[in-house]
Amino acid sequence: MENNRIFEGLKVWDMSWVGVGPLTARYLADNGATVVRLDSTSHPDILRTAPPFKDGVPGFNRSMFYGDYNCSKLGLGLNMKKPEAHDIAFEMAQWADVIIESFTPGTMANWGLSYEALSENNPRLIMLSTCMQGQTGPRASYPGFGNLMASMSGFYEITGWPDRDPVMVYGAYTDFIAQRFTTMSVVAALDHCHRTGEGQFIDVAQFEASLQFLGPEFLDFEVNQQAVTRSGNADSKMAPHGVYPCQGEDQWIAIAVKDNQEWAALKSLMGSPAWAADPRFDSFQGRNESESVINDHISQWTSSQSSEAIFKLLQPAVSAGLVHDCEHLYTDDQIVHRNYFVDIEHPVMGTVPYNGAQTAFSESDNQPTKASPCIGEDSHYVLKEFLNFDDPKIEEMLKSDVVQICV
Amino acid sequence: MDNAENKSGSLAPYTILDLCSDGGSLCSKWLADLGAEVIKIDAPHDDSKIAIDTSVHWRFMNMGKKSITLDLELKSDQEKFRLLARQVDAVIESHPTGWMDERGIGFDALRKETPRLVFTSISPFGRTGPYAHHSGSDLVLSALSGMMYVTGDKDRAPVRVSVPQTYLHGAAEGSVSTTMALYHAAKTGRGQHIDVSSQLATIRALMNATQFPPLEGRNMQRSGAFMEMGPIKWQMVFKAKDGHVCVMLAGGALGGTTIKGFLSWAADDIEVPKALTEIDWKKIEIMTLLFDAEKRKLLDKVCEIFNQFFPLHTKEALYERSLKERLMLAPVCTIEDIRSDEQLKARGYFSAIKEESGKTVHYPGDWAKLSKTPLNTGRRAPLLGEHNDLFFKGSTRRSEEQRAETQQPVLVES
Repeated sequence: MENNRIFEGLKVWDMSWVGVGPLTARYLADNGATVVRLDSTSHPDILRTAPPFKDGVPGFNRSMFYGDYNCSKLGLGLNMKKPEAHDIAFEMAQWADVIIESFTPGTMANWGLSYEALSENNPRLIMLSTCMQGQTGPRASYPGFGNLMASMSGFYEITGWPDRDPVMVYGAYTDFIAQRFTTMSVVAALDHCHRTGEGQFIDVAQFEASLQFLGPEFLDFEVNQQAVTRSGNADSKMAPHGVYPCQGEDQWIAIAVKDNQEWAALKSLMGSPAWAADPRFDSFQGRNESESVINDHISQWTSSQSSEAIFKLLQPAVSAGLVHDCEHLYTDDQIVHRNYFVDIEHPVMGTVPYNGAQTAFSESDNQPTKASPCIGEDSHYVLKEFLNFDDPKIEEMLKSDVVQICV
Repeated sequence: MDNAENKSGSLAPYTILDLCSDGGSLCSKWLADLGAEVIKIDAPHDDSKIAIDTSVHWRFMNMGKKSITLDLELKSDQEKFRLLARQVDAVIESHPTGWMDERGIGFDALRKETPRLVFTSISPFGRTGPYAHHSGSDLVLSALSGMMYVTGDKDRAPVRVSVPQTYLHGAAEGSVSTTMALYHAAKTGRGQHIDVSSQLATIRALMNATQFPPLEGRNMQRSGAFMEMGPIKWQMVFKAKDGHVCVMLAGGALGGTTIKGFLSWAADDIEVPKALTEIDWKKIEIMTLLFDAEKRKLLDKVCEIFNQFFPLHTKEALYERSLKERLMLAPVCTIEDIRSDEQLKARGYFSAIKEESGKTVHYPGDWAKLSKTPLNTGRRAPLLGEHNDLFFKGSTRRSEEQRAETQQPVLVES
């Protein structure tokens, strides 16, 4: 691994699974930490059983749903149904600076792996526990995934058309809000520990973190009794503001006229059509009142052209963007320039692209360092190098199904 | 600055200058929650415009910060800004690409004076590349990130989430990156430029969708109330008596319990075929249920039952029973529902804050509970220029006389 990564030397024991925990550990791993990811063949991370699979063929080590969240990590396979595995997990926590877990609250304590137990001889330990609704309170044990939490956090209510039922935001939306709050908490705690030597326990409820993305809306409800709901693609401060059909099947261009200057630019770039000369349209209020008429005209103008041509014509004078499907993210000029997708060779999947860093650091590397591990791929290395197990002991653990490997 | 360890929060020793507008302001709001001293810098108030500091956006996004006014178009105020920047740990900005450099207050200029300075830029597309000067907006970032294409009904245009989200992903990514760079600077004495792309930060929210084209040669589509994953899709949002609910249909321990639990409850109200109730859903592996064509037919029948049964009950009744039996259901909550949520109440999520007007308002509060360094939330946003006197003899109002006046900075804040 490179030596100009921020967390070079940091040791992380990643006992989490599915989304938020593994993504938090991935941030640390991409930035140079040595991260050991728990997994097993008897109870594999559910993402290993979910698509996309290499060539569409299922297999524990063929899922890039799992792969994409776990690159830059080492894999340790432990069968947590065995008490001996709990002992190894305990030892790993003595090795680690940071431990991350996302089980139902109480699970770790039942295994003898509470923060109190783990930090007794490791006072610098930082432990992140993250789950849907938090470690305390009457609904702490609520089971679920980010798609349920996106619903509970209000995001479905505010997505879709006002004349129709709410729709899903694709995927487990709130996972991708919570993962940044978990990460900034852990890094801030590391900073505190660097100064004071003091570790701590961190409890992040996905519910509470996600509501930060609707903060002003809660105030608007409390202060002005305005309850936000879905409004299609309309905006309260911009008009026209919509998604318009272009030449070809399911091709669209998004146009958001941010101010009067952008409206003047749009008019001119459309060739100054007679309908757009109406002086009422020169103010936001006028455009807002006539937005459906304006939208019809713009749709007529866009529908005979390619989305690419309109995008190139309008930017940078007017805020406009192609409605990319995922395939086209790989060829978008800006995304390519930023080296976002990173090709890495995986032992089973071959060379596959990972989502990369969303931030460019001027001094530190932060792109993925290696492919995601197969189940327990690095068990020998981790047990030997980090916990000083000898070969016979590891063999015995493999035979008794405490350590599990599937490569 | 001084006495930092006595302040509350993990980031208490740090002071940050915030030059962001709109969603970017949230980056330093979350760092202020973590204990950093954040000084927000805005242009002085223009009498012809509505006061910005009364909006709900300002009041949430600038919680816990101090506010000073500087007119960064003026050389004298640029100089004051440089003087401040020499004494802080980080600067966070979201101006158009090149704007800071053109005024002599960009990363390169500030770094010469303060090598340990962290300088974070939050922009629509990042500071380099062919779109670096493009006009960004939430709608356009939703489009160019792929988020919009997979959201909405197939028979209509793609939609964005109606409350802007893309800059918030950028702001949160900025908070993560800035904490990392501060940690790095504390260890090495070296600051750096942090260049956040909100477009890329939003792509991360696509879960597994970006991996489908290279792995399986297919694009995910927008599917309304259905969840699409690879070759299949299944219903997740259902009508209830007074709104909607979201249900996670799957096999395995939790998924099987969910299907069985609702089917047996439904049998109290409507006719449920025995063929469905007799299946041991827990024994069917999650993905087998979804990918096996025969099993999928059974799941379609379950959805038919649910579509008849859920509208007979309120979303609260459905949620309450789900909590008791550990069934994977969530109400499609409105803002009002969330405001009265029992779990959030029990954990004290909404905190009462006395605003400058004297009114008490409840704000979303602690988004994490840190055992040794609790968050420092619960502090109201400042009024525009409220802290000018702490830093220099300034004014919150823009006037020609004040522009001409040479205001000597008097740095009294420690």
